[in-house]
Amino acid sequence: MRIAVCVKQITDPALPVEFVPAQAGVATTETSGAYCPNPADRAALEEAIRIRQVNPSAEVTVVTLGPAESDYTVRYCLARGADRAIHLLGEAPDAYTAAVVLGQVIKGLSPDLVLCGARSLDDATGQVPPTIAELLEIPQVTGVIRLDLDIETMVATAWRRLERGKREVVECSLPALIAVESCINEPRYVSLHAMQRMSDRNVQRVDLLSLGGPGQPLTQTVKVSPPRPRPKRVSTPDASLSADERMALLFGGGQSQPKKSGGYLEGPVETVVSEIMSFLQKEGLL
Amino acid sequence: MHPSALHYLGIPGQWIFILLLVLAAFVLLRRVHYLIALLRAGQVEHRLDQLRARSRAFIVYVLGQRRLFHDIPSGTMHAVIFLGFLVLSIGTVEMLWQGLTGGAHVPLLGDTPYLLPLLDSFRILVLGAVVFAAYRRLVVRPARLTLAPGGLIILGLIAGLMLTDLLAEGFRLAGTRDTGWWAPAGRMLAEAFAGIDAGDQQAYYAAFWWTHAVFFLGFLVYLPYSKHLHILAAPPNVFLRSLYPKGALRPADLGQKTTGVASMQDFTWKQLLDLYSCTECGRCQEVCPAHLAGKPLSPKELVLGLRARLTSRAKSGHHSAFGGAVSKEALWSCTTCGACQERCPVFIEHVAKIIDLRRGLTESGVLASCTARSLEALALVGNPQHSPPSERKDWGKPRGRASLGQGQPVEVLYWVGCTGAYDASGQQISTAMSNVLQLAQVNYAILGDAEQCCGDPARRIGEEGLFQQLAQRNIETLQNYQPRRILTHCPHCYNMLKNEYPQFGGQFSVVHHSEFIAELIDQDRLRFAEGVTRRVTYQDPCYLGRYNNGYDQPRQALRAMPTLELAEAERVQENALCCGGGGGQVWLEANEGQRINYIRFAQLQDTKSQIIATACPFCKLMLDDAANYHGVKNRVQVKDIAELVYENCSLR
Amino acid sequence: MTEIWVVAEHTDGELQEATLEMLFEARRVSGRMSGTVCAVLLGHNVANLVEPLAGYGADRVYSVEDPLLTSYSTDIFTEAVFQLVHECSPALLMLAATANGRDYAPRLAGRLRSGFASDCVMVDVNRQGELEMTRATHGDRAYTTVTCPNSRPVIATMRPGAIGFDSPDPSRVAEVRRFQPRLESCVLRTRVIERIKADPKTLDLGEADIIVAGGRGVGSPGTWALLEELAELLGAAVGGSRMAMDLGWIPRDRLVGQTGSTVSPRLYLAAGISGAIQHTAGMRASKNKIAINNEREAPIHQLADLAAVADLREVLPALIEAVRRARRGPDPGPQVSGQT
Repeated sequence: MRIAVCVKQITDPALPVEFVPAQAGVATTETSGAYCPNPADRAALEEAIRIRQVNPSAEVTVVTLGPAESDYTVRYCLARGADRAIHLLGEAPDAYTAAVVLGQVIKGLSPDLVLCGARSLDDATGQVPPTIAELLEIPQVTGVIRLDLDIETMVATAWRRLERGKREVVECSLPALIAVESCINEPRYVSLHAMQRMSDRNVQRVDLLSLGGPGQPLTQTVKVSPPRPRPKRVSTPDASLSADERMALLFGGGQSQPKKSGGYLEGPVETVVSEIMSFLQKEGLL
Repeated sequence: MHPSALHYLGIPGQWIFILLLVLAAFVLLRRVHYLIALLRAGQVEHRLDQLRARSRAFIVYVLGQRRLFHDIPSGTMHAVIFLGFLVLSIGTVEMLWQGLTGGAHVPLLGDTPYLLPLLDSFRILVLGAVVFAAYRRLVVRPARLTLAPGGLIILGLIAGLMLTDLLAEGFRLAGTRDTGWWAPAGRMLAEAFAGIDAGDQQAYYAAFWWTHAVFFLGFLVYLPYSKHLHILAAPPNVFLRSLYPKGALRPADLGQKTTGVASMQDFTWKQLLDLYSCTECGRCQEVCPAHLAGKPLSPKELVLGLRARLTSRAKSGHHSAFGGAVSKEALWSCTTCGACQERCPVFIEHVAKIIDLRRGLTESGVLASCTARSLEALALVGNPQHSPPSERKDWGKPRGRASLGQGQPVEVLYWVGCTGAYDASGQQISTAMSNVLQLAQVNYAILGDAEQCCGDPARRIGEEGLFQQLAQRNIETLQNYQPRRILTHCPHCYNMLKNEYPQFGGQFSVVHHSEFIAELIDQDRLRFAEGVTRRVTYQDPCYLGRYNNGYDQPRQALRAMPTLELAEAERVQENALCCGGGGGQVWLEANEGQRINYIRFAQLQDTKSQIIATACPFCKLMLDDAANYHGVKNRVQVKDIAELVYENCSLR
Repeated sequence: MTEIWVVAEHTDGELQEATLEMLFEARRVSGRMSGTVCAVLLGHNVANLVEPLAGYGADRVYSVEDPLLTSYSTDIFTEAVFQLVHECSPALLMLAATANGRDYAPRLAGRLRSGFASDCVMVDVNRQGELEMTRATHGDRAYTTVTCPNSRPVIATMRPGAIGFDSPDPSRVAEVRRFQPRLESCVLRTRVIERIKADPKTLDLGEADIIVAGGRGVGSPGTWALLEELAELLGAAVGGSRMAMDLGWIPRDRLVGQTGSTVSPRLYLAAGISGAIQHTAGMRASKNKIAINNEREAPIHQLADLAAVADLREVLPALIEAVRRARRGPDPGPQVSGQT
């Protein structure tokens, strides 16, 4: 059984972001060496390794698209147990072109199963996995938090995470693409020593240009700036509506308040409770 | 007539004796050969340096039995048996010679009038000691001793040896009229047996002599199969003790396939010799904080468990180190406080073995996920709190601090450490310390962003690769700045910079803040105000105290403050109980058993102090946590020495 | 005429709030580029939703009715919308960034080779008349603004709860155009074999909308039971601090903090929690924070949006009563669902 895993290297998401205004880019203040594999992708690799533990004949190939620094992630994946790694050297201008290049390479592997992280923690488009599935014309299941595989029947059973705690169990025949959430498993620790001892033997490095380069992007970044949440619309219900309808509207889109009025809420219990209730109502939490 | 000169069923006694001797020697040597082969299968280690220091240790701890006297009754008893063993060896040589030669005396030694009284006295003393030992084992039953057949067999054999010796002696003297009047027991017995018929006397003499010989040979044969192997193993083990700084772990060779231990042969031969030397005395277990808290760790069971793994007949010849008492849970319970090693009379090094086994586990990824995430954070951003390096100098209010590299040489480089930089409780210490330095007009600087975790968490958890990477980076940074002295308030950083960085070429002059404060007090650069007296007790940090003998200066600092009345806890200094925060525990998953910090907190509370003074940010964190849990934060405050000094300083 | 499409999200015969938000945004954008706001209604027997769609801003509703559209599946939905897009060529297609929206919107974009922007908090029109989408990226620490020049349509998934919406105009009427997708040759390659409802008691803390958490200040199992009662009334998951775990009130998987879970619910109610960094590290990203702790100096009050310095033992019962009363009050209208 052949399993392909897409893994992307990102800058440590715990570091503060620094905005570089002249260019449309986000630079973190301490990029030197603070790279890590994207958590959801790491979980995808972990899932692949676990599948292989149960099915020793399976083969796990990791595909990474990134500059030379992504070598760190390549080493990590091999040390974690991937059989092979393909490092596409270069960068793609948008998620679509990235998916095209990755899809091209993955198609060449004829995998039975393609595992991806649902989204990366930097650009977070979540676009690459479904696009790869579309290009490879294979079915997809996304938002997966649990995966079971029946090797005999080549059927995957995936638990999808829906809103507010709902789940959906989906069956799908292989070959297929599964996009996993990072909570699907707890990746095992990989020691630095293990990574340092990894040889280059199972790494194939391919320059993007030799593949014809990344194509023309469909999406262009105009600017990156600090977030400024918009004030939500005030919903002043029309007096002509019935009480039910007015309540319904009030419990809908709420008014954004300046948070933390600065004071303490003290005093008799009734005051405290009624303040809490107004707060809950205003924020639509009841 | 000597019993070996007689004939038994036509066979000369000498021949029988030789036969028995050869048999015993064969079994003994075969076993010893096997044990030595196991040692030789271990890894290389060089322990023959500093021969004078080693000889001194031998005299003090083997001949002088020093560590055993921590428990006076037990120490006395053992010293008697030990000394008796040495003295009675003369008698043993005599016995062997006589057995082989049919009764001739050993030249020079065998026929002196001093020999018999000497041997006699010791036979009685040893017998008395054995009775006392049996009483302790069977009646008193101290918790550290396991009541096992092995110990009782040995006591029985020794008692048997003494008794048969005395009785044989008695019957011999009864027959020869050679009273040697100052052989007390011999003379008494000789008179008691005088009435017995001469032929019977000879018969009893022979019987008891042969029994004694058999007991002796049996004892020899039993020795390498029992804990009495320590007779052979312990003296060399003490001679070969570690002369490394107490707080330093050995670096792993990153060129090897793995940094840790998975099978017994991965240990060094000295580590394996440790296992042979264990006498099952349990002194280590008695002082172990994890054991006290009911965790799955007993240093004694761990050592014995490893010994069993070593000597068990494994089919493949590859003895895995894990199994039984050698479990993951036991290994992760250790706080590396070093109390076990401090007490061990035969100088077994428990901590290094635990860390070696942890290195194996960590390398194969067997870690709790919270620990894994902390190590990953450490690798990514140089601190286990996963805080941005750029915020490393944001603690406290900066007052006259300068980062290094701004020109003028400074008195000390203040190494703040990760807790001092990023943890709320630790920041209180670093803020206080910087204020103290300011008040004492100490010209100091900090490294700021260039400082990374000293690597202690990585090393104690067993991530040696990550540790060495951090160490090398820090050493490079420090060597670039060439500080005259490095000051730190954290004993873990202190131990690391002082005792372990030299392994990688980092030689620095390091001072702990308690030492430095004591110096400032001596130099009259700090003065303290009068005021309302409060009682304070002090928690000795393991990495400052036991590892580095830093017991006095913190107390000196506390005593220098008039508002503080120092009340010592019952267990102090090298006997202090660990707070439970060392050995990477803060990043390991809490497991079964009680919390060590709650136990220690209760012990410190017995002093009825209003303040618990600490000299380590982890002690502070753990004891503060305990105070919070017990809801007594308004009554008992946990404060670092720097905080107390700043509060009490009259220069403000 | 430029068409701006909103694919309607609906559950159990009710429109999701996300749809109302998208219609609101669509109206705004259509005003800037003189467009027609069209709702795409995929489903089976959902004609009743046309009226509220109109009320909230749709000029036109594309009614795409087919039994195969009763419940979501990647293949069917992608194909159906693809065909409709092919036929009508909108300028902008908005979908809600729900689990399902995130599932097929990129696939659809791939099939159409059109520009795609996910998790948008705003759509606007720039001076050049191009659509500009603002997306939340980098863990919500940055907003990235993108354009998709030369792309038609532009597909954007909108983040629910980011926009808000206006009150509906019941007099508005939308033109309904029926569209019959040709789905016979569309192979359904995934099959839903089970649907599992949420249970706040077993809900993973990371997914809970509301968390009620207790610490040492709760004091006794009796008061803890009140906390659990409040949680149940609010439909909240129960969490706690390290103290609560040590005292045996919560199991390890309910622990919030450095050695437990990191959560960011819509509401975090911290009762009797002091707010040490080991705990707050795990919940500081919560959208709304209420603290009830009778110690004024407790650090949690610095973090809370509502800092109640009061006795839990008095507040909890009163609060429970108040929530009960509010629940017994007027129920929400039939066509708007509070779920997002």
